[in-house]
Amino acid sequence: MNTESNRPPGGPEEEPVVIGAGLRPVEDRLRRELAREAVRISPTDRLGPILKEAHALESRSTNRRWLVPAAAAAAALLVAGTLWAVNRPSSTTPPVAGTASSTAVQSTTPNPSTAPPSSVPTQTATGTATGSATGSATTSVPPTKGPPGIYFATVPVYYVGPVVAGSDNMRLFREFVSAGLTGPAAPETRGLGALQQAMGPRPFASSYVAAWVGIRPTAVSLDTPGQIEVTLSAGLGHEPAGGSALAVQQLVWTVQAAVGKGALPVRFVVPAGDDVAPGLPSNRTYNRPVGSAAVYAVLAPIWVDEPFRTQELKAGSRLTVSGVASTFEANVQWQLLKSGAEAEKGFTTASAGAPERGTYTFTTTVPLAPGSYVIRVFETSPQDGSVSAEQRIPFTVG
Amino acid sequence: MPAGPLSDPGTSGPADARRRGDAELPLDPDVAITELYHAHWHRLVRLAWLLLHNQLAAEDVVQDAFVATHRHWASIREGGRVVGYLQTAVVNGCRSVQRHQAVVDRQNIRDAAAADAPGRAGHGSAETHVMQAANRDALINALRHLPERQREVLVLRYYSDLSEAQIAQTLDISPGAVKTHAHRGLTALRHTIDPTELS
Repeated sequence: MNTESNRPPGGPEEEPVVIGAGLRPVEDRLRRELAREAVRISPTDRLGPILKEAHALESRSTNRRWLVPAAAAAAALLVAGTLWAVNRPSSTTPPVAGTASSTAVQSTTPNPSTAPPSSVPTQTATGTATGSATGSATTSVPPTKGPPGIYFATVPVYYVGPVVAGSDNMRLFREFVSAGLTGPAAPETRGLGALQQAMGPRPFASSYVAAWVGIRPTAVSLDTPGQIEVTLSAGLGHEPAGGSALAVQQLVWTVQAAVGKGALPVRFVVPAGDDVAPGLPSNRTYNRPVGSAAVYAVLAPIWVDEPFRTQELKAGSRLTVSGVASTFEANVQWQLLKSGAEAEKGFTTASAGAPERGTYTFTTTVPLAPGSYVIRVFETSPQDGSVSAEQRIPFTVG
Repeated sequence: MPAGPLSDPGTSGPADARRRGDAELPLDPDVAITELYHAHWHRLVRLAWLLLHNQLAAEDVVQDAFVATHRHWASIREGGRVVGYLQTAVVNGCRSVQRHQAVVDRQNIRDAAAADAPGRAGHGSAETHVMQAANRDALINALRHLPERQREVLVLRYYSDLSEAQIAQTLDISPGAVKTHAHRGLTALRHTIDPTELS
C-alpha cells in the first residue's frame, strides 16, 4: 500500500500525470464533501493540556539529550521521514516529531555551522539523535535509553464506582488518564501503567472505590501467545465494595484496553497461597463477559471521555463533552455546575440505547468564564424521574 | 486568527523562512505554541479527523504534534518551516494511529460482544460506525478505502489546499509521486460516483 514512504525527494520522478478534465467533477465534489465532513466535529480546547504536557516533559527530563515521545502516537512518529535536514541543509532543525533535540537549545543559540549533513536517515531514536544534535554542549551521552519515569501515554483506565453517588450499586467507569510508563510506549508498558492507575488511590474528586490500594501490579507480559499475564504483589485479601468479581473485572478491562490487542484472557500471578481476590483463584484466566446484557451488568451506564478529569480549559471557549452511554431510549441529560451551582443544562441522545452502548457528544452554549466546574452527565428513571445513573467530571477554566 | 508569522496557512517552504527573519517568530515556546494553537488547532484537528474519522484520536495526534513542536521550538524556529513541521507530524501521527487501529479493529470484530473497543481512544461500537458511515457522503466513504498515500494526497490537496510542492514536502515524496497518487485516487473515486452525476 505504501511503498515509498521514505523515498528521498529528488529521486527519479514518476511521469507527471495531468489531471484531466474528466476528473474535474470528482475534484469539485471531493472538495465540497471534505469541507462538509470537516465541520462535523468541533475540536475541543486543548491548549492547556498541550502546555501542561510540554512542561511536564521538560521538568521531568533529567537527561537533557532525550526527548520523550509524548504518547503512543508520538512514539510511532519515530519512523517518520525527515524533511528538515533535506529542506534546510544549513540549519539545525530536528526530524519531524523528532527524538533528540535537547531542552537546552531553548537557552542557547544554535550554531548553523555545526549542522548535520543534509540527509538524515531516520527510523530510530538513536539514529536521528546523532544527526540532529545541535551546537549545544550536551552531546556526549547517546540517548539509547531515557531515564525511568519520563514516558507517558494516555491510557484507558477502569474504576469501580457507584452508578449514582451514594448508591451501593457498583459498576466500572472508564476514563482516559495520562499515565507514567516504565519504558517507551508498548503494549506491556501501557498495560502496566494503566493498572498502576487503576490500582492506585482514588482520582481527584471521584466517588470511586480504591479496592486495590496497597497492592501493586509488578509486571504485564504477553509472552504466552493469546494471553495477558499480570503479576500482582499480592492478592486482594478482603471482599471490596462492589464485590471481588467486579474488582477483578476492573483489572481485566483495564489491562485489555491498555494493551490494545482485544479481549485476550488475563492470567494473574500472585504469591503462592493467595487468591486473586476472595473466591477467585489464580489458576484460571479471566475475561470480559460476552453479550451486551452481560456487559450492561458490569459497566456504568454513563461515561465521560471529554473533558478529562481536572482538565484545564481556556476561558471563552464552549465546552464540548463526549462519552459513552447505555441509557433508556438513548436519553442523556447533562448539567454544568460552576462552583456547585447550575450554570447550564440540557439533554442529548446517544447513538444507541440500552443495553447497547452508544456514543454521545454535546456542546454547551455559553462561553466558559474562569472558575471551577463540574460537568454532570446523567440519566433519569422514566418511572419516577429519579437519577438512575451519572458521572461527574471536575475541570477548571482559566 | 492572528495575522502573525505563524498564522500563514499551508506549508511555509524554505523560501518563506529566508524571507522573514527569525525575529518575527516568538522566542518563548509558550508564546509560539499559543499563537500556533489559535491559528491552526482547528484546521489540523479537522485534517486529522478526515484521515482518522475519530475525533478523540485526531485531537490526541494533533496534541502530540504541538507538544513535540514546543519541545523542539528553538530549532524549529531556526528552521522556519513551522507550519509544515506541524502538518507533517500530524499526517505521520495519523498514519501510525491507523496502523494500530487496523489491528485493534480486526480484534474487535472478533470480540464484537465487548462494548468497549480497547485502544487509545477506542469507543463506539461497530453499530455506531456503521451508522456514521451511512450518514456520510458516498465519496467520503470511498475515500476511506483508498490506499493511505492516495487518501493523504487528496485530503491535503482538496481540504488543506496545499500545492503539489507543499504536499510533496509534507509527505516526503516527490512532486511526481504526488501527481500520480492524486490521479489514481481521483480515478478510483470516480468509479464510486453515480456516472449520471458527472455528465
